[in-house]
Amino acid sequence: MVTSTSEGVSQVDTKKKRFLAGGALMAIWGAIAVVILGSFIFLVLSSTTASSDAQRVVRLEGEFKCPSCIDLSVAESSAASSISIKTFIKNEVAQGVSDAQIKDQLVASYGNSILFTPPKSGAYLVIWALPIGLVLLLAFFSLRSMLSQKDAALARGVGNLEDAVGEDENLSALGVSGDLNLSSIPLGDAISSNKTRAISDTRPDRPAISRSFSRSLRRATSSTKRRYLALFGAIFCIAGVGLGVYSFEQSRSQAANLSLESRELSQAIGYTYSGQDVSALRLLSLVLRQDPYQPQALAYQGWLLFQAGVKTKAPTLVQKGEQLVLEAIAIQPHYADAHGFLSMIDLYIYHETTQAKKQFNEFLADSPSSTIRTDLSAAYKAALSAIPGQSAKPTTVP
Amino acid sequence: MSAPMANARTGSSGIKWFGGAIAAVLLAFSIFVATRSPASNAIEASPIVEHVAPAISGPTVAGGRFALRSYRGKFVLVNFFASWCASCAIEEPQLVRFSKSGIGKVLAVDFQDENGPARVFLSRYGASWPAVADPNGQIAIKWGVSAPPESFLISPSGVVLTKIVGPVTAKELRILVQVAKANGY
Repeated sequence: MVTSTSEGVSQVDTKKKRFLAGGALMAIWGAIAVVILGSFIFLVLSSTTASSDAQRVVRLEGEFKCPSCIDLSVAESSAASSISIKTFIKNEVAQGVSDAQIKDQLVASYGNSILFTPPKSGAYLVIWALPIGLVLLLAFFSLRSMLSQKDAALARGVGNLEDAVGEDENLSALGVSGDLNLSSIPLGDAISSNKTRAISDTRPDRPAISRSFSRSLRRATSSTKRRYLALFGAIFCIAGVGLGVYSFEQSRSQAANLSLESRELSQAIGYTYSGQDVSALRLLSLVLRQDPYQPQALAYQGWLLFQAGVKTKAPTLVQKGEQLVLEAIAIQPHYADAHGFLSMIDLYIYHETTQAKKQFNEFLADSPSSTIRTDLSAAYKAALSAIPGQSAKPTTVP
Repeated sequence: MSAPMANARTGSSGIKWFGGAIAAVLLAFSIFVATRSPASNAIEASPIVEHVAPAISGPTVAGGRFALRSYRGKFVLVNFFASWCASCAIEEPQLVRFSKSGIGKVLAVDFQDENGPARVFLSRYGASWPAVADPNGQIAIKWGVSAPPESFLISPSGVVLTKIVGPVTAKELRILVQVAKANGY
């Protein structure tokens, strides 16, 4: 029985050591948090505080990408364009121009792609906020989990202590004396009178402020807060899954339209619909230089040349345009847009309503995109109404 | 169920939530990045297209002075070149052909070069247009030029119509001008 009492005391010592170890762990976490926070504050302050001109030049050179290199900053590159930008930065800094103005000037010429780090605005904010949010969440969960483990350990320790005290009282009643000196245990006399109080008194190494903080944190993470936490977790998951689905959709639609893979082609078609024909034509030429039989590029280039020919009354351009659209159909017979363009050519140039109707029906049968469907339907009706003797509302046109 | 076990379970469920959230975000991010085109292949539209052309004014390699605004009212091809640029040598005969066709004017900007070699280069191909010297590349920066040859087609009203990266042909330029005219430039 005496042995069992000694074991109880040694368990209490073990718990005490664990509490101390927990305190040490807390101190380590605190130190890590201080280092992270300190680094962040240092970075923010170092980027905003005034520095010498030479320091500014060096820092700015590191903030811009070399326009003619891959993944190199202006500072790291010796390309002609980087040398120009280095000179530019040096001159502007010498003239007292602010960092923001220098950045704005370069972005105005080269676009956002000149920046080594994404801008801290708009959608780019997510990139900056996500890691900070994750670190904060991690810190929160770690702290909370640590406190829960401490509570569990404490409850187990009290259970053992109660057993040990119970056994000691039994020994005294039996007239057996032992080495157990309760006064050496921090619990003291309180154990017999108030168990709850005894639990709190077993924390002599934790100062009152720490206990108060711990209680506040536990209150803060009560069931209501936990629900919020679960909600945030769900939002994170949904956002992640949403992003994933979006990416899959993007890649799937790109895979479905193999010929639209090229970024230049998509951009060129976008330019066509926004009326930037010159830029569109230039990009289409680039696509056709890489693949002379690219049906979409042929059709759109043909359509643009045809339109330019009609407007400038240049028969060679009109013929060239028609020829390119026909080539596109020959390569991809079910390419809706090409049939749509050909129906317009048949109507405008040859006034061949039968042929135009045939092409237009093929265009509709090939499930065109809603944009071109709307545009061409309107143009078709307008063209048909311009031909004497033709109905403005043919039955085949939706 | 005892309180410690309940607490432990709550803590573990929280960690699971957090782990799941991080895994979902990382997975989505990986997929997103994996399906993007490499940054080196990305074509970004020049921010100066559809805007008034930045000013060009300064000494020419031949010793005079020239300003882009003196070509106002005509289609102009602003061509950034250098005597040390191999692709520029391929492009030069095409620019001569375009210039001779009378469709538009050519204004060259000699990018990070010396006047002597630039004069020799231009005379070798019979290029008679003005070439403004840009030894430090400061004009090129205003136009967002990365490496020669790069050209910009300017409308008679002084608007940048398109940016052409790499060698361009006379035929392409002729069509571009025709399309620009058809669009009311």
